[in-house]
Amino acid sequence: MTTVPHEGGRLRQARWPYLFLLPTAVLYGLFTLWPIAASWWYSFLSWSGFEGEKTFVGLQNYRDVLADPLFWNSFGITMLFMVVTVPLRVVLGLAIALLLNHPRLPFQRLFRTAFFLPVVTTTAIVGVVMQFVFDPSDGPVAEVLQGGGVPGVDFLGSPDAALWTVMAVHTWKWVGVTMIYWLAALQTVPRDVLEAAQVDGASGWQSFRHVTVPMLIPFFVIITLLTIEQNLQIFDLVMTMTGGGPFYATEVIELYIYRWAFAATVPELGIASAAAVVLGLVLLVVGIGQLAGVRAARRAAGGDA
Amino acid sequence: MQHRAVGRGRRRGPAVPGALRWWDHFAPLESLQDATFAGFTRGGGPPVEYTVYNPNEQRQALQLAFGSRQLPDVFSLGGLSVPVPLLREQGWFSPLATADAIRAGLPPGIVTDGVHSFGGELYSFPIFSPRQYETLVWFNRDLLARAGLDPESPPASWDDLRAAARAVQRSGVASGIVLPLQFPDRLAAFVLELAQTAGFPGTRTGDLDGIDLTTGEYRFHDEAFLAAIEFLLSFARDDTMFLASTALDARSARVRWAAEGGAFFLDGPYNVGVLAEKFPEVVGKLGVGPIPTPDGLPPVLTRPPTSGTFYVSSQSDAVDDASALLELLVSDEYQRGLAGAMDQPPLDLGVVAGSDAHPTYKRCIEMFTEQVFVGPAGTARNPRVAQVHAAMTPVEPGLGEIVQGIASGQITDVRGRLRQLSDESAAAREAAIGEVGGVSAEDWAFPGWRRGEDYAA
Repeated sequence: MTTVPHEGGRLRQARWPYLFLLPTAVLYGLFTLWPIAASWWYSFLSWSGFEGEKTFVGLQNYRDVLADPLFWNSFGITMLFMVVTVPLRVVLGLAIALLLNHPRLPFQRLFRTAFFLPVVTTTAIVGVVMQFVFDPSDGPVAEVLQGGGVPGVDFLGSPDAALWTVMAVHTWKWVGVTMIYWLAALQTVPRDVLEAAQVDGASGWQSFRHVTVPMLIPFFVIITLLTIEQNLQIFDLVMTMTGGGPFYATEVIELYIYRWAFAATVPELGIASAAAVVLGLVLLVVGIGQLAGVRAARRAAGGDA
Repeated sequence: MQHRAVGRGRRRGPAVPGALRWWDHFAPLESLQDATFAGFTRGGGPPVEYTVYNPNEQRQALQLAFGSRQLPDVFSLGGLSVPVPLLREQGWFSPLATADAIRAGLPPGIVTDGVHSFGGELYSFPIFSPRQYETLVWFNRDLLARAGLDPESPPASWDDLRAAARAVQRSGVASGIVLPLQFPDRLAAFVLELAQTAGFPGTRTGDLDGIDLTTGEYRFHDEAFLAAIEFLLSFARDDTMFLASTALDARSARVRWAAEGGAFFLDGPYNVGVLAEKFPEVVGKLGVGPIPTPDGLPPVLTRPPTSGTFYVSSQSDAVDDASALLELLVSDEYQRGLAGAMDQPPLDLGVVAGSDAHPTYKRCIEMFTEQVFVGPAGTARNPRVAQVHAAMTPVEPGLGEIVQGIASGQITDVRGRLRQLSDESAAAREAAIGEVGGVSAEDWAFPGWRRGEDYAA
């Protein structure tokens, strides 16, 4: 026979989960919600952060930001970065995962570790080290190229090469995460279905195309959306590799915000906040797309993905 | 009183209750400050909790500390370029309690109203001389000798320096020159100084950058600026520039130059101070020459009066102790210590010759004494000039960034871009004048100023 808990005891018990949630709620409020609300408020002010005095200027900061060609330059660079690196990471991650998932590949663990190692390395350190790697005077890349008779390329100092170099390093750094997502996704493809396809005489390509791919589509949507979101947050790598230069050629929106908030001769927290709010709105659109994508993926997978 | 480390500065020693907190960004002065503070404490003063910041980080730390009422008792302004009169109005500083003793210790004519004193009260004073510049031609004597050049007669004209860089490059011992192309502020400094050697009637540092002192107009598009930029970037075209220069700021460029990446390096007098501290093995090979001029004649440069170096916080409850500590900085002993530390030149240039500073540092000071003249300060004539500068929306990209853009080939219409900078700066100033009132564009013109003479207000 089970005893029904006393009414007061149940209430007391119900409090415990909230108590345990409290630290997270407080920290989330302090370090996520409050800064978001504050940047909305600051975006209506003219304030350098040095003065006690803040002037309310209405929508002027938004007008200034939207009229600034450098904002649109950084917006364009951020979008280009996403358009290039997201498909690259998703496809490359899948290719590596398929290779590593192959039952006959030796040293699988070693390779997985090797591809995942850059992910756990601090991004700022990767950025600084890459400055040495791509040093046009005596960096290893320059020496290899010179050894091959190729004239020196200033990978980080030339406006034509800098952004692409950052994209390549970013992809190398993060493709390991995408690979892990794909490896997990591949585990869900039932072996018996693949074996049944083999028994029916399907070739390796045919079973990939007609068995594996359809089963991976819900994962594809989620992995792509996660990658988009992650590839919008590239401040640390760009800051340490190029600082946004040469002449704004790699200045992504996050660097634009940082420049106005901290690096300008006289900082303008209002303009920085307005740009941040605009970036936030873009992220919101991405987030809504993500939500819709996840729902669609769930439906496609029969509601249990 | 509670003490805690703020930001990423390097605090010396543990937090001591009752200690004076001191923040500055003068790494080469570290041992001099330590000795001065120890002396202060021995003489009965409270201990000093001393933090040395990277200039850029100190700016951010001050920004945060002011808002959270954690300003240290004494601080330098680091990379902060908000005009001092404005910070004073907003209640950052306390007037110095030992003003009379400090005034008595300073050479006459140094304390300027609207710069160091306001309404008769002294807020700060300079410890460095205005007679200095940053486009000194430093070179490695060994590399010059190996390239067949005479280290005793460094290049004096723009063409001489280009030719010398070519000679080094061709000899294969190193690249011709190392430039900090990733550091816009320093590039702007070089161009503002080189333009003066090409005849531009202007000065450099802050409020008066790009302004023709005789008319008060912004003239970044003057022929002298075009010539200066053309010269500065000619090394890339001549293939005599150290290739990694595009990714170097002032500090990393100095390191690469010290590691014999290139023979020549443009830098301020503190170059030898930093090298003596970090790379003493290089110091014996150092040589230095004046800023090169288009025709090789001795340069004539103008600098405005140096602003105050340290300030006592309005949030401090130990203004008397802090002021007493600052009083030590006008002593002969401290000025001699400054010379020995080989950072910016001490206010009293006369102490350098007799100090134990490196011969190249003494040579720099000799050159500065002959070549640099003190110009006008806008804020001294009309304090509202400072409010205008504070109200001006910063013009981005500025001179330094534009030079970077020209260097990387992203800006091709140099003249048009510089004219745009002049126009945008003038428009920003005009808008701010309208906002502030009681001031006009005339306040930036100094018809009485003569090139090659100290300006008398």
